[in-house]
Amino acid sequence: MQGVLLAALDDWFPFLVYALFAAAIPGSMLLFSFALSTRRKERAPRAQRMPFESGVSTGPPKLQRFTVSFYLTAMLFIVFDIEIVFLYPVAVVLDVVGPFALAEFGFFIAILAIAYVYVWKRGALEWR
Amino acid sequence: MTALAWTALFSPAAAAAAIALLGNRIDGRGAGLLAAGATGFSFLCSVVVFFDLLGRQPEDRSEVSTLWTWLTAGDLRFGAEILVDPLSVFMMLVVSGVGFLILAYAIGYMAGDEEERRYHAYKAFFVFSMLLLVEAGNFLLLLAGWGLVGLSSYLLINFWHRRREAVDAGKKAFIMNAFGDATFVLALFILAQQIGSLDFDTVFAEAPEALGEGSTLSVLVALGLLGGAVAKSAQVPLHTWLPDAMEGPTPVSALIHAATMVTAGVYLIVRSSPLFELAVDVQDLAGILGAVTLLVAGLVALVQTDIKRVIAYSTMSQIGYMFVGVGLGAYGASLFHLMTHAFFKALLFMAAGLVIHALSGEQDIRRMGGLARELPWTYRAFLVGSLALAAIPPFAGFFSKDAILSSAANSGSLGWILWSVGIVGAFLTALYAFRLLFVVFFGEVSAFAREHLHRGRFEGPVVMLWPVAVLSVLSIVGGFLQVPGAWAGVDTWIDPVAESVEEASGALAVFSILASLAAALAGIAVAWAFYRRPGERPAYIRRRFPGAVRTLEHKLYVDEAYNLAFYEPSSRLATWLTRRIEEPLVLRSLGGLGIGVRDVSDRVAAAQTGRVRGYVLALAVGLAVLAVVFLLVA
Amino acid sequence: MNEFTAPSIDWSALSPVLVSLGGAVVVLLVSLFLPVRIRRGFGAVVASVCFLAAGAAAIALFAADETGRGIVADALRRDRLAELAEIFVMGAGLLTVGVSFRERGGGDRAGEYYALLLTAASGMAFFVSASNLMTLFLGLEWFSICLYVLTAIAVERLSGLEAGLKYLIVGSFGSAVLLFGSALVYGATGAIGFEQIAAGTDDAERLFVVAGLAMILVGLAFKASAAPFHMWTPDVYEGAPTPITGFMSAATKVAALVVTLRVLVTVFPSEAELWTVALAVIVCISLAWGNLAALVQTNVKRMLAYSSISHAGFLLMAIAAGNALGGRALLYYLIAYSAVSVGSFAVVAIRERELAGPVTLASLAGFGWERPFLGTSMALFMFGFIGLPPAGIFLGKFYVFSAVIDRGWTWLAIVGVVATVVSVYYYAGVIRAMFMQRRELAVVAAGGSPPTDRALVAAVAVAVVVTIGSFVAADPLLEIARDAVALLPFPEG
Repeated sequence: MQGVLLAALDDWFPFLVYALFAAAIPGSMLLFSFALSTRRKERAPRAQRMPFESGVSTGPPKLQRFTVSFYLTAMLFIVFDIEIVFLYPVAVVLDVVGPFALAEFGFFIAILAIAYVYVWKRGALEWR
Repeated sequence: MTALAWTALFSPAAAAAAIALLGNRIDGRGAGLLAAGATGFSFLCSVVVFFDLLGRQPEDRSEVSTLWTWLTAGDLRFGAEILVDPLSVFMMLVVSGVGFLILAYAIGYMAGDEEERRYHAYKAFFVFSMLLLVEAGNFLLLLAGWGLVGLSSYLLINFWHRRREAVDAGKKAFIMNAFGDATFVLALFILAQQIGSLDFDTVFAEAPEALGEGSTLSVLVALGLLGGAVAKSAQVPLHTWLPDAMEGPTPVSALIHAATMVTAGVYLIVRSSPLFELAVDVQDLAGILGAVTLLVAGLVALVQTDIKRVIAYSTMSQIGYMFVGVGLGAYGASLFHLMTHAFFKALLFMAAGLVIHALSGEQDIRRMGGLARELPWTYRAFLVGSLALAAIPPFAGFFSKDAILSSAANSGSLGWILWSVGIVGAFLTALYAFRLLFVVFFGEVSAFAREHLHRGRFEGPVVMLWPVAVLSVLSIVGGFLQVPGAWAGVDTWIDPVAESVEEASGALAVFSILASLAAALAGIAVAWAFYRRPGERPAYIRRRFPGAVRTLEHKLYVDEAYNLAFYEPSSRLATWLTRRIEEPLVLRSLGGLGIGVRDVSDRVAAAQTGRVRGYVLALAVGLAVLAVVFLLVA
Repeated sequence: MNEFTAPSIDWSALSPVLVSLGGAVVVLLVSLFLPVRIRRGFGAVVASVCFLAAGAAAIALFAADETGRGIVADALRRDRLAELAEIFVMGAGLLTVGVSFRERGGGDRAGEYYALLLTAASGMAFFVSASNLMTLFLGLEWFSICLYVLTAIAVERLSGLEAGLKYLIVGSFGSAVLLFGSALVYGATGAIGFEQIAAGTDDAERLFVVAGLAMILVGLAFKASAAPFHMWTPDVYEGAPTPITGFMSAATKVAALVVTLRVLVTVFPSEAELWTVALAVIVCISLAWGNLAALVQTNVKRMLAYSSISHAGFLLMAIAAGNALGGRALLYYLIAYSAVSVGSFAVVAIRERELAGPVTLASLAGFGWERPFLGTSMALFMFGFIGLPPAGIFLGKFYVFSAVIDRGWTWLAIVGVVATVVSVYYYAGVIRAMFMQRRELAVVAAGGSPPTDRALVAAVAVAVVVTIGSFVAADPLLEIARDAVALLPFPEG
């Protein structure tokens, strides 16, 4: 029994590490959302929330305001960009796969084109 | 052919649904026409089916048609299937034919009622239920029809839901019928358990072996079925709902009950006659109950003063004759009487309806009188109906009642006892029928009638008159289907389904006929003597036998007895239980329990915080627990 | 490099997916060029036509297919189970189109609305025919993402946005769990095809197979909104536009449960002992949690959300039975359940439009008398949820219980019966509110009495017909359900 388990560990050790990380990252997210939540700070006495006696009062944080169009355009760029990335692997195997790949490819581009037409017509590319 | 039978079944249902769905897009008259038209269409289909069967050899006249299998549970299989055979076609013809005339009459009678459409929808639904009952191909579907008939009759009885008597009568009918339904269902349980099927064919084929002749089980099955039949057909001791049901609601619904619904019990016994023949004692019991009913109803009818009630009691007593018939195994004669009874009873109710209509809703016969001159055609129709009811040749009732009596005369000692009761009944029937006729139509025109009588060009709207005319003709000629000594139309027709006992022949038959005729004529003579004109003689009887008359007026105190025997104890017990058990024990602890549950529920609901991290946490914890348990097990 | 051969594609088998997807593209693009006021009508018409066509295609396939086979290089499976589920999904979609037709506001987004609805349905159709772990995940994400957007599509409503966001976050977590589980199973067996995995589990490391099973189970139970993975359900159901809630409660459940059945029975037959017990526990938690929480709800939509959790319990009970009878019971149950779900949310939707606010038990008062048809239908649906005749769920529950009793788990059936009894309280509460409660507070209708909504009434009528029809035509439908699960390798065959 022990031997089997050890042999399994041998094969799967990297995977175990990976699993631990995989569990740790979302786990820590959850944990931190409790640990760092703002409510806890509000419960602290006022003095603790103040800057030091000698410190400079920071004043209201200066928020840089971005227009929504910025995010929208950025997001659309990422979407189309990543989809275009798929073109590279196809280009590499195009000689092997041949006309089938070309057809598939045309289809893929067509889908992107539909999305593009939609985005354009919907006015998402206009800077407001 | 079976397709037509299905059409006949569903066309009234479709009419009911259409009226319900169309709502106020259709007026009352339209709804009535739709309901009557659909029923008439059913009748046409039935006629075609009938002629199709007629063209076949007697042994080929039975056909089962399955639309689909509804449910399979183990070996039990229930299908939506109908059985088309001489018996079901016979009943289809009666139900849809008489039903059609009644629905047509109702168009005129109900015209102008506030909720006319609802009424017509109910009626069409009633016809559908009744057709389902008679066409059903297995006991489960028969039970469905049975229950739907009960439901639609409940709806019809308290149709005028603002009238207290109507609502009470509806409840009473429902409870009495529920009792019968319960015994019916118990019988079906035994059948399903012992035979493993509820199909007619299988049940009848295997019953002798599975149940055993005369065994306790077969007696229980027959008793259960009889209980259902007795309740639905208003026989003693479950008869009290019928007269009340006649009093509250419209005469038209009274009519449909009298002409069709109450015969369902007779149909059930004929249909399951193979089961009854396994328990002969129970079948005898059916005959005895019928005899008792016909006597009791005949006596009580003598002193009733509501025109519809008298006819209601006469219905009970005529169904009693049919029960005598089926109890003795004279199925053909009983069904023959069922048919002629449907004709002349519908005729009587319709004529009574015309009278009531003309007198602005008055139903008390003491305020009527001398109407023969005012309503001559109504009088003639009523006369035809009464003659048929009293079994005077050549009217329809004569042949059918005589067929039952002469079968009884040929059935041994029990037969002779029932025969004698039947002869007494014949006397009573003639007496109360002609009492009613004389009181309502003879003598001086009463003060009330002078004041309230109103009539148009005819004695009623034309839509109400023509069904009366048709039924009058049928009441006159309907009896010639079966003439003793000459031909036996109904018997031969029904024989493939349920073979009837021999009727008496020769001298015995002549004797039976003469005796019943003498009794009927004597009844008419007595009625003539007492009631031809309002006089002293009835009052004299009343003074002479006050106890007897009062007993009859209270319908033999059956209602009171039931109150005392069932209602009072149970209501006392219920009150006691409420006060001593429920309030101190149950309510308090239940309250605690309820609060406890709510408490837990509140907490469970509070777990729903609305915070996403909580949701994900729950998911993660659930996953973790599951994974750990899985891994440990593995 | 190996010679590449293009997989032969069985286009007819893909037709339900392709028709609905193509319809989505058409709606999305064409409505951009149409004036705003006719977009809704156009979308509704195209969507109905596509749902009808896709449903008809699925019916034709169901009729034609006696056996199943893999298509597109065994990535998908063409069999009656998938086709029956596709019929349900397309039917639910069709009814949803009717229910949504007069939804207030969002006229300029109508194109997107119907396109997303069609895409979600096509994703579900893809999902139910998935035959390897890759297509399984792909299908899941395909319809889930559409539903996230649909939940939040009424951007003016904060509650809708909140629900959409929550659904997105929690849903991603659920998908991730499913994906992780798939990865573990693939790691252990080296195969992604369902049958190959089943064949390979004997040689595989059991530890990973079992861990993968647990995760896949959680991922699917999450979509079926079974407790304790249900937490998103009440918030999302309440926040989403009501027609979409109805669609989710019917179609998502169909898809999730059919796939759960398929995956558990075909991929993990060797672990049947494990997953049946696990499901039994999940069933108990779902029944208890759903029912208890529903008892105290006053918001009807939220109450129905909890009811959907408890019904997930009943439906999973059929799978927990782990036998062919259970599979049959599940599919039969789903027919009636989908109809009742869509119908009841449709009635809630119309009341919501009248009130221009959330529907509570108090604001349902008198509804049965104001709108007799819809009130009676709602009463029928509540009877259906309880499991009383004449609704098919009555027989559905009967078959589910007999399936678990067949397995020897009478106790589970008793739990189910107790849960049913408890549920009577809150379902009957709706009927009571509609018919027996006087209206004490005057409910102000928003902008006068709304025009008759023919499309919605028609959808409700269809739901009523299906609800009663599934009871009346029980045996033929059970035959269909039997055909659908006939090819699944249940233990006793």
